Amino acid sequence: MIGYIFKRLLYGILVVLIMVTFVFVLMRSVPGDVVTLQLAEAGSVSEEQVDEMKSQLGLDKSIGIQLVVWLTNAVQGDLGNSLWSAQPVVNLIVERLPVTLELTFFSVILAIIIGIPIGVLSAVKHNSFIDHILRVTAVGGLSIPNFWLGLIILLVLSLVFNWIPPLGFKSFSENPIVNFQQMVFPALVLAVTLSASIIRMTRSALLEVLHTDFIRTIRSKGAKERVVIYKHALRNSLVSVITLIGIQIGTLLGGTVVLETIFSLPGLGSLIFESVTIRDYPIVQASVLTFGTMFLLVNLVVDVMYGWIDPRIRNN
Amino acid sequence: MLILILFVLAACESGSNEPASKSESSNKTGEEGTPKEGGTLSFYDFDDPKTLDPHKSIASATNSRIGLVYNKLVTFATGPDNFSSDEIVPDLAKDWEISEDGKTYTFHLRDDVKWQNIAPVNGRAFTSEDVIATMERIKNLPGPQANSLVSVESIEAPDDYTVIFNLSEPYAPLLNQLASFVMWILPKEATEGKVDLDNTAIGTGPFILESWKRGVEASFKKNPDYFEEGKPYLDGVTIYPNGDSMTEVNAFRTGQTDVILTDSKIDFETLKKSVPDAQIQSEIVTASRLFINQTRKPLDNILVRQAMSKAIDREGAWKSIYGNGEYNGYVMPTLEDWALPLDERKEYQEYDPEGAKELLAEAGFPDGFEVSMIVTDGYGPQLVTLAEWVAEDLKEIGIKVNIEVLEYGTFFSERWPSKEYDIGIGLVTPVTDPSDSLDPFFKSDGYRNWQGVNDPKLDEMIKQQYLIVDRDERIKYINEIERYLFENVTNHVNLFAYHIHHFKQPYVKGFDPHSNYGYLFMKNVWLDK
Repeated sequence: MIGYIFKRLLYGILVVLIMVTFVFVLMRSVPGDVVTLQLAEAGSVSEEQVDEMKSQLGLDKSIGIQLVVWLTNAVQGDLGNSLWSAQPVVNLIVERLPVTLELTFFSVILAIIIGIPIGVLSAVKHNSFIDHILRVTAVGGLSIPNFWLGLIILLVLSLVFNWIPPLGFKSFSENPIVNFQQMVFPALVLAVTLSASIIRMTRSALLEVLHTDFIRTIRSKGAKERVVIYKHALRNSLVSVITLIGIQIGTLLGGTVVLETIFSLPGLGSLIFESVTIRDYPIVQASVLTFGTMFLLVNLVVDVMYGWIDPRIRNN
Repeated sequence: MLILILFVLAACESGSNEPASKSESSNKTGEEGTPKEGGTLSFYDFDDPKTLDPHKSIASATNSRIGLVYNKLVTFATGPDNFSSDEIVPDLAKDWEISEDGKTYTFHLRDDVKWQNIAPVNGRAFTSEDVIATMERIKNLPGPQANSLVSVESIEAPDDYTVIFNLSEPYAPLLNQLASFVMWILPKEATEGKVDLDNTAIGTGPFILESWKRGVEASFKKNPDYFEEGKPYLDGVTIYPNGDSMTEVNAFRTGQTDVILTDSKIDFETLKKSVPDAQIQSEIVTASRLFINQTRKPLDNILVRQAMSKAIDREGAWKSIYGNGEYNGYVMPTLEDWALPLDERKEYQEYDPEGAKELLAEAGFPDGFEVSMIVTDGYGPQLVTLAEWVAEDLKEIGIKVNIEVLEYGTFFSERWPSKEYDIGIGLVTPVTDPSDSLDPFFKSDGYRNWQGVNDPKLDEMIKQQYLIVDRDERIKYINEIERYLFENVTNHVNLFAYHIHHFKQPYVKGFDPHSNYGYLFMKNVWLDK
């Protein structure tokens, strides 16, 4: 198992390296550069100023050299400073990351709470009226774009309840109640799509397991239906559900970019969004690195969890 | 005394409008009772600052935040119906003298001003040294501020509370530019690198910057040592960076924010219906324009540019996109006396597609030609809609336009400044002195001349107006320059000026905006609740 984790880690580092290099080159290849933007912000642009500032920021060197310099520093834990505010990028990430983590965590929990019981119900009562309703709802949940749902929720809250989440983000430690009010709706929106997938996956996986021989054996031994479903069938079908969640977390992280913007949450997603617009290369670079690492770790955790849930994998 | 542009209340439900130059506000200003102390005012602003350093950004986002913290030597009068007043009033300087020849300005500073009590300045007294240090920093940095000081040869401080500006030749806009938002006075320590100007601000102003969390909010608290007795009235101010426009409207509707600004016709109507008791104030703040790269053929031909100008149905555009608007000139109508009279602006820009076709034929393009047009969605969707409108109008006279919608960074850093375009749609920044609308854009070496205007006679005229110290004479001369631009340059092509609407909750008093960035009036705001 240790060897397996180690191999996965090495492989992941390679993936992150390729990704980071790709973004590095991409950001510098798209039209528009940070120096002209800063000078335009200050009100005037001249050739000499552009050259002077480029050399100050180290942007006059070739992309290859810049990349080597960045990688060398990054390996030593120095992700550079923001080109606009001169603040260390690490501080910004540390400030923003918890918001995105909290949002993601919340929505995964919500999705599981909603998705698994409904999936089970749908499987147990399969082909009944309830099942049809639930399945249609799940397809609906999958099809609704989350930014649209976010806007609708805000609209309904304000029109019907004359209330919107408090402005000015507060972290959980600052004010848990306000934090909850600010987090719950975007988390719910993110959870809708994921829970819809969970419903479908739980339903089909559970149905499959319910038709296997060992379930028939357990049933014939006189086990209660509840025990059959929860102890034996569900647990065996969870492997595919967990895989699904692991894969979907990538999509979920992507969704945070839009929802953080709509709900004014200062997370990593909105940081990337702002930084790309103003071409703050080090921030984009570091945020992508963070997102990539998170994705990698989640997948690793999912792999490890297989073993925990399914002894057959653990013993191999 | 100035002729005041009155508030304009836009758009009846039908969307029909007076060409707006005079109208009234639903807000009966003037009799607002005795100010009450306390409370926090909160609202969304258009954008989050990229930096708080006043010499690194001319953006409204930066200057609206730090305007609460800093002061200037002199400033503009604010108050009801004073949105674009260019009346100069004391700020850190209590009075000043200008020598007969217009070459020496002597400012007498207030001696009761203290810096905010934050390290490393720690509440020490404000003196002439701070003014000199700030001016030195300005001279050594890029940015338009340095241009204002070009004719300033030296600045001396004979004592702690006197500053003398010595000029090499008269420079008419000096006072006006010192009153403008680019001229905040910093503490000497900040110019020596002891304050992180990108992320904090320590000033002499009515509010102290408590915290600025990027992308979240900037919060300010009352400065107990502010030099104007009894002010500010508010305990604090919270400014949120722009959210989604629906979020902003909802926040105002549910009473979480006290003021909202919008330039959208839809939001205007939603707000009017859903918060019927709100005070509404509409002001011309900005304008749109069609800039033309005249280093490219056939755009170098003035007949072609004039044909384009005639081809555009400006009234139709502003009615359907913004709900209201007004013919603009090369000097914006926000500058009141300095702008060409409305009749004349209208005459120059009447919608005349037939005339446009004739001009195009005369220029040798009876069948038109094809161009590409750049525009950005970075200012919101309206500008892109406007680009589509202009493209349709130009198509009517045979000019086929391919629109390229660019992301803000590309538009602003790559294509426009490096003249990598044929024509484009952009906005005009409001200014406080007419020379700021002329010099940067139309002088052959102007720092914002990104359309290739190169006219020696115009250069000379723009230089000349700086030397005219008499206000009335200078106005006449500026009018002449504007006519010259309309008749002999026609680049950019003005589209129109339009309104931004302030909605204020009924209990908000003394919120009388001024066109100059920085919320100069915030010390007078109070909440009647």
